[in-house]
Amino acid sequence: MELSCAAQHRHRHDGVAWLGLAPTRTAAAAGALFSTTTRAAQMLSISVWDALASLWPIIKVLAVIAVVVTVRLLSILPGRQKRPSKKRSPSETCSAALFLGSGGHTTELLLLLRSLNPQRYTPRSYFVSSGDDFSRKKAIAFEQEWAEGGATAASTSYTIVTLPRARAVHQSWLSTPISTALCFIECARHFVLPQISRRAASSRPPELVIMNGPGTCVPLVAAIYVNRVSIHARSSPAS
Amino acid sequence: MLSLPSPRLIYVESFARVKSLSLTARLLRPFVDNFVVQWEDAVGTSDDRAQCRGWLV
Repeated sequence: MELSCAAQHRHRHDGVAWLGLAPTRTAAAAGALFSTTTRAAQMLSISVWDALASLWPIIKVLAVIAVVVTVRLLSILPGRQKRPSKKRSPSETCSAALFLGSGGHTTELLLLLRSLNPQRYTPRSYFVSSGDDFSRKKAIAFEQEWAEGGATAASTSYTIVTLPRARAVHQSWLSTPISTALCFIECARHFVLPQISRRAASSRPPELVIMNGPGTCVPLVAAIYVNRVSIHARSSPAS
Repeated sequence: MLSLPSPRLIYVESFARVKSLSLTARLLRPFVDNFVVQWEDAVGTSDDRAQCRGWLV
């Protein structure tokens, strides 16, 4: 039911009349949707209350799981006291994962890395977002610089991992949960899977993650927290 | 309780964030082990969880 151009123009300037028109149409649309839904539910012969009642045991279990996970999560948050880090000898290396968000974030992070000793922070893995060729090229160029600077072959070993974007620029917020979930699954594949399946562990898992944004860091941290929240009986303490 | 091994998380806020933190920084602040800013004005003085080491770039 489209208003004529002139009518639209008139209503836009006549503030009160426009307000009066819009709620009526919205209310009519909402009412139509609601009646259709209730008619459909009636056709299926279940009321909303019955559906909820049958799901109640599942809801109770989910609520208990949510509470347990929340309590566990709160107990492991870093908080004020620093997480104790194990002492390393000068010859020990530390494997690092470096997150290169696009553009300025990549440039800044690589500038930060200049102060690191490539002999000690190795093997290195660079995480770039899919479609971010700039970061990939920058990482390669940066590593070449280190190699030319006289670093040994072992300390110039690096990998580049591509992660699906959590949210592309101007991406609709409606589809963002899906893309973020896909990104989270990929991060979990890299950080959680090697810890639970010895077969999946190819190289040394990263002991350090350095990031400076943007949004794709969030699913990355979430994936790492899956490791932290999990309870696992191991002989070696968590580092 | 022992957990699966996980890496140490370090978040360094961008040099461009002088007066306030980015949304990602605010989301990740309670979760990372080291939260570093490059400008003091970006964080309140009451919070000692953030470290300001000045310009790092």
